Amino acid sequence: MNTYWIKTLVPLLIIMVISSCESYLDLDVKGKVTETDIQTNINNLNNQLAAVYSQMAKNDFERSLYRFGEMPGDHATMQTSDYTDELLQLATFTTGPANGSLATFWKACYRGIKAANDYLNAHDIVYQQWMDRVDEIFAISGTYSPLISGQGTIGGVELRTKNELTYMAGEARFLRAFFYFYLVRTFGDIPIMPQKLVIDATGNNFYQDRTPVDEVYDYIERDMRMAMAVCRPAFSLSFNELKAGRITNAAAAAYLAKVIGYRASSGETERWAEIPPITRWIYSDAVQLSYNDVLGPAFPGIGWDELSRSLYLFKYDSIRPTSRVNNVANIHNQLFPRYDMLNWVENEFNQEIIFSINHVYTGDGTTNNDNRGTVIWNDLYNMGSLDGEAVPGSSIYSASVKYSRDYGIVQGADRDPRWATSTIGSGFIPFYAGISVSNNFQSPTPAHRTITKYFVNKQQMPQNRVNSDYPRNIILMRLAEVWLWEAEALNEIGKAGEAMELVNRIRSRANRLKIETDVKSWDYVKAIVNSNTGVYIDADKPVVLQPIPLLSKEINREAIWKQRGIELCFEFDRFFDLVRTKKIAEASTAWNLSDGVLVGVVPKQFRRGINEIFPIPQDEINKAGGRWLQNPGY
Amino acid sequence: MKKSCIFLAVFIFSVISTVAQIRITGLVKDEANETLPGANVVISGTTRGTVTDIDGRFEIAVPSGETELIISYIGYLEQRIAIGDQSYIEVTLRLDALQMDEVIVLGYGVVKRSNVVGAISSVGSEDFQDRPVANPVQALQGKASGVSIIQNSGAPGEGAQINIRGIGTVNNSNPLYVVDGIVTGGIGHINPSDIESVEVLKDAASAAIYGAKGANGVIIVNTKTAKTGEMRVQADYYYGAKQYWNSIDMLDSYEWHIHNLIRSSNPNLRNDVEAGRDAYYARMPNIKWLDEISQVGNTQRANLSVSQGIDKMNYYLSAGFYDENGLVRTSAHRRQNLLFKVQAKPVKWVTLDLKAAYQGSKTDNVAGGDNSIIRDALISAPQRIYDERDGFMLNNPLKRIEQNYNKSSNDRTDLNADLKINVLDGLVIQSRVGFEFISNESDNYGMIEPMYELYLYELGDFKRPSIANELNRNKKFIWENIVNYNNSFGRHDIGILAFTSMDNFSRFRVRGSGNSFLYNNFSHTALDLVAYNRNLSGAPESERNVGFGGRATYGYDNRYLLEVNFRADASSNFPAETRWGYFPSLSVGWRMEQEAFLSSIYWIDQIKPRASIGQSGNNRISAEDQYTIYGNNNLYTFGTTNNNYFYDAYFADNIGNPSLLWEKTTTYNVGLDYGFFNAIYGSLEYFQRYTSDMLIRVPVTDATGLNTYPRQNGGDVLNSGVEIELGLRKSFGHIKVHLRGNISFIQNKVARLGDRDDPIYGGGVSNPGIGQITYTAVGQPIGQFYGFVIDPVNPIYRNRDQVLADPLYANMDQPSLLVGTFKFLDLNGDGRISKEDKTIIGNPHPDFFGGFNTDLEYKNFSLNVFWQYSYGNDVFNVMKFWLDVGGTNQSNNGKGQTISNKRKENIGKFISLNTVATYPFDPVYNPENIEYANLLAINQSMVKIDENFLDGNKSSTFFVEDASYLRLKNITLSYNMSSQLAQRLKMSRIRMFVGAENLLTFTNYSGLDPEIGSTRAAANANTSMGIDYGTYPQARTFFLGVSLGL
Repeated sequence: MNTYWIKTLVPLLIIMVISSCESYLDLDVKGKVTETDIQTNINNLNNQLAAVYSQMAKNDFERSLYRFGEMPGDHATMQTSDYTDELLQLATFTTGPANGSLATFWKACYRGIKAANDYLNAHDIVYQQWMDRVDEIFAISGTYSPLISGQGTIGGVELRTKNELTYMAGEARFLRAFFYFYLVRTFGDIPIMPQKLVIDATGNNFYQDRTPVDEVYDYIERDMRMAMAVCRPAFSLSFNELKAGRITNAAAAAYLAKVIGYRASSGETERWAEIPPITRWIYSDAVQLSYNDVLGPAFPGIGWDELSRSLYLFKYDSIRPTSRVNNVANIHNQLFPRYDMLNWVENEFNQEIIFSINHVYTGDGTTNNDNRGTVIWNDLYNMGSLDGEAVPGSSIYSASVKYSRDYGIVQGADRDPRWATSTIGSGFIPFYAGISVSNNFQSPTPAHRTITKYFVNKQQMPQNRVNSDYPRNIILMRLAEVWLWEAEALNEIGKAGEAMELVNRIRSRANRLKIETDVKSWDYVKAIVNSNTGVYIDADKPVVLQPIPLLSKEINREAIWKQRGIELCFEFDRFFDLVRTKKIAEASTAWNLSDGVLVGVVPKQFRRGINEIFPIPQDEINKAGGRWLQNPGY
Repeated sequence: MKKSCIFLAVFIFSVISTVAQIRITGLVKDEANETLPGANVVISGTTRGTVTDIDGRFEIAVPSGETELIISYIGYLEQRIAIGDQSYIEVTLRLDALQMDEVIVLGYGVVKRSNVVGAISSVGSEDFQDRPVANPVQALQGKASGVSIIQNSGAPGEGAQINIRGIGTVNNSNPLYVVDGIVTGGIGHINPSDIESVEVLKDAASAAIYGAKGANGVIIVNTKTAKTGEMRVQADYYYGAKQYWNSIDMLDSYEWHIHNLIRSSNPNLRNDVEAGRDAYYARMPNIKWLDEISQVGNTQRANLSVSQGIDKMNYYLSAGFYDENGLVRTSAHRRQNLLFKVQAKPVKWVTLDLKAAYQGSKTDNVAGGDNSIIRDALISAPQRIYDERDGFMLNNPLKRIEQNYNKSSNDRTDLNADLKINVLDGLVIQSRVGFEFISNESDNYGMIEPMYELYLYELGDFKRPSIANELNRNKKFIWENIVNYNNSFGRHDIGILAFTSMDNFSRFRVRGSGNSFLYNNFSHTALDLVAYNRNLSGAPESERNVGFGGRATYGYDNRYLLEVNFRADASSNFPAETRWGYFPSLSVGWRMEQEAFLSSIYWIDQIKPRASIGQSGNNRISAEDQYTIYGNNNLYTFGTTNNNYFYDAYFADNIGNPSLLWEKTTTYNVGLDYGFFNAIYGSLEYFQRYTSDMLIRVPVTDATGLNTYPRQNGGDVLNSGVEIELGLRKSFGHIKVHLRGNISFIQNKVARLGDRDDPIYGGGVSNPGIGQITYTAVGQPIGQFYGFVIDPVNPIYRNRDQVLADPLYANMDQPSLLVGTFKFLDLNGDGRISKEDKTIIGNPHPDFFGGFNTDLEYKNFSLNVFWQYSYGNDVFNVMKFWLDVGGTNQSNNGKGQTISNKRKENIGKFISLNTVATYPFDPVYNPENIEYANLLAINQSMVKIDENFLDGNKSSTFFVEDASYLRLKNITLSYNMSSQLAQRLKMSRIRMFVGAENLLTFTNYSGLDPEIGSTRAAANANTSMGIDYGTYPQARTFFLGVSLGL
């Protein structure tokens, strides 16, 4: 029997198997999008950028807005004495580092930072690929001019892509700075994470030391300035555009001003002087800024070539440090005429609104989508549930007595119309037919009011209440705030007249409601407004706000701060404003005297030098392995 | 081409050869001079042979030139008889206590038991044949030392958690399964009747040949093949009835109401009682919901097999049917098995084995885990009436069963072909391929509550019937080539083995779900009817492996044994740079009984010390771990509500680790096999298993923005243990005795967890919200229970003064809140109760475990008694919360909440019995009353004390119970009808048996069953062992059956 064929074949097979191993094993992971898959083309960049935006719209981030921005402040009151309530601990400065809300906020911000970092890494790669294509095109056509003008296509490449790519990098930088800003003002020293996380057998760069506050602000400022230099000019947006909600250069400029304002202290002038040119550039065409003006202060000693590369400015454009940065051009040039209607869904993206977290109603039945409805509605007004119907119930917090004392109850000069349209007290019309309003919704005292600024308007009910698909945008920056920053800066640098002029413009806009009441009787207006427009007015006729007179710098400063309090009430910055202006101790005491004496309300236990910032989440300290010290006092 | 045609022809028309033959007749007997029917008589060197008839006689035609007959019978020493010129041969077989000549199947080869140098446990078909179990794994429990098998629950079709020699990893620690030489994912699909033998390779020296897959041990299953000789038809059937072996007495309707009243301090209820309306409650129906949802279960298995050996070919055909209806209504498992094996030897030097196996099963599931239906039934208020139109029955466990339909089915086909060529004497070349096709379907349907049929509602999603279907299709191909050379040169025995192996696995998964508008009709559900919340998901998945390796064995003079194994493996699951792993092993053995100084001692049959060292790997991680994966689970929208544009938002929650390595396990083993007086036999083993480079998710700060901790080779685990097996096999006159016992002591210790030794938490309990309760930390076993320690002297604060007297709470603002709560110990003495005071409060793993088996045979009767035990294992009894403490029963979408029903033995703790004469309780609440404090304990300890200083987590010693048990797992009495009687019934063999499974259980555990596995996926099972969520208990089964040889 001849068995040689077998004897040769089998070893041959064995050899074949072994030799073919390597390619046989190079199996792509199927059904998954890997880093190399996604960092390949420009359209994918859009999807990664959307991920950065979506971190803002996440429940964890939006909840943290009121948890940290309002509840520890003096405008809000929680009616519970339950010390186990993590939110009460935040509101009364009794929290320890184990409080879960701290970790939630911390993580939400760092998720945003990671998304932005990932985006920028991908952007680098894709941009380089795109530039390679551009060079190929040059080799064919011999000219870059169509690219520079951003018109048409060459070789299938959309030339307007050039601008889009530059904008997108700016948007990611803005959002990175935005999240760091929330972190630094809440937690103090925080770790700045490397843009590229590295993991391998020899170690990784996951564990970073905490960066001092000042350096964090430097980092934020650099990102904001770069964003301001390259983001999409605001004039290209209008209410109906599909790009509405994208970050614009106006948003970056406004946040830059805000960041500088947070770093500036009362009495000094150098930083305050930086603000007015930036803010004016936002609303006035008359002010023009060069790249040097915008970037210069934050990038000492860095050459233009390097800077323009990191801005993804097209290398063949003749952009120079002295070139003019795109203007906002008259979009945000004036306030929206009606303070009381500023927040309506219908008025989203109005001229005053510079930056908001976008929410839409989709009605397509998709679930698990944070972007389609804001959780704040649910948290504040949908606590009780009757078969899924929205019931204004035991909201997490309501307006404080102190808020009413400061702006509403006291008869006289300052019964502010904004007080009446931002909150609602007892005795108002049930806001949704067929649902009786629980007692909790009405205040225990006339002064103790439910906050309506954002959400409780008849027309503003979520269209799909079961899933709280509530399309209302969360406004985070508007022109009034920009003006208030400018006014504060002007006052500090000795231009009180210009400062109070801006403040009084804001005040007179609030009087718009009053002007209408001059024509008809107040009761008539109240009834009409309540039944038709969905604004609830339950208070007495507001007074007409008079212009604030010019006085000393210190008195003006107090007046401006007070205007911030009412104009921007319940817009999630109150606590940080109190800390920044060093009024938090005083405000807490005053709050204790007004709200703290109410039954079921626990006094704030503010400790100076400790509670200005919150503790780093305990789990993070543990996981950082002793690298981080806890904030003092916690 | 010509050759292959001949080949085929031979295969199809196997013709009985017709060379010159002589006829030999004979008789086979045992030592007791009883004839042995069914003994094998084979012509040496061929597959030709016959079996003895019922009188122990045989007749065989032997071709001229053949010189030797081999006579063998299970349990007896094989005898070789030279034929010479005899025509009648009478043989007496001796009982073989040690079965040293038995052939053991190792990876890629076989070895005689006497020459085994690794740690291997064997289990034979006799351990499977009469057991009323669906899954062969269940029959393995307690049979092999070092093999821990814990049934996950008693639900039909449920699997078990298997750990061989401790838990080597926090990842998937299931052993590798090899069925008829082909590596596969499990053995649950195999018909126990088809199993010939099971070998468990425990040490790395034995498992190293399986390289990257062998780290957790290997279970090798061989299915039956045809015996030589004429056609045999075998039919087996049994039927069993199942019932609970244990029960928990719950409050009756009246008692529950009173309890409810005191607990809730609901003024309306109080008024009811004061107004004498409580008598009404006494008349309320008294429903035992566990009885309502339960039934007398049953189980039956039928099996028919046909086998025949013809001259150049033999075949084995088996068809099996298994049917089980569980203790809980609607829970069931059904399975059909077909197995067809053909072996052909077309020419002397070629053997072709073909195997085709089909398995189809269907399982009807009921809710388990955190939503266990058993729990629901126990804690549901006893008074509610089952009524279609009564809103009262919204939260009714019986309804829940009827309204939920959860079926899964599994179809599996295995096709194997194996070609062996004897190239030279001792040199065999072998090539085999295996195909495996598995498809799983699951079909879920949830009805809506009838209440919503009566009202016109603006329906929320949860009120619509829900549908979910899933289809998984798995394909696997494996190809192995083996060269094997064995020869002896004088005193030198040499064996050399080399092989290559490659496999390719792919899976496709599709899942669809949604809510339909059609109401309450199971039979018409389909994804096509989904009208709301259409959800679709699915993904392909694939994996490839290649490997090569070999084994060299050397024996000198049958005394000194040496074995070296080596394997190299590569897997697509690992990055290209690191994907090759190399797994060597070395073992030595010394057959001392062969030495001159021992051979003179007649009573020593075997003394074989042996030692081994080896390494094997674990590749069971996801291929994804090396990549940074971007997921699309969110989106962001630009534009306005009426005019917008969605972008899918791609975000990476993880970070890929491109330098992952295999987990490696190094095992050191020393053992001793012994046998004396041809009666006593057994083994002793000591081992250490060291798992290094364990793949763990190392915690990183949230500042990285990662949701999934990165996978790193960061852990080490040490397992060490002692295993003892001891047996006695002897005939005492007509009584044959076979006793077997084993005991294993295994210690498990984590040695390293990442750079910073961060503990791993697991075992989440979400209902009630206790959170994670297990803790895996350096210096400790995997998956310990973790929580507060309750003061053993004064477990509860009975009143406000007691709280105030405790310095721990001196500074608390509202210490009165703590009245009635557990008093936790301040272990670190820092004056406060914080999560630093949590400690290890229990260990789910036993100190020792094993089994004890007794076989007694007297004439035609045989009795098998099998005990199984586990000592020192703790259970985290979540049910104690529901049955003893508090909580509302709020399943079913939060509708119709009621306070959970309680164990009857708690009755004195709720109600002050002194006052029963007038009222069942003292209507004046007296906070100083101890009983009242007790009920506050019930009220508050789990609910109100959710204080920040306790970090919202209340895992405590309250829940941990010792669940040691000793169980009479199986007792079977069988009767072998005498052959004469059988013949009269035209049968060759009739055996009848009757028995019970789980007849007795001795335990102090307060729940329904102390054997609690894990309800989690294999990858998380080890960090969530021993949590009783109201686990579906194992049944007590009485069965009877018959086995017929036609």
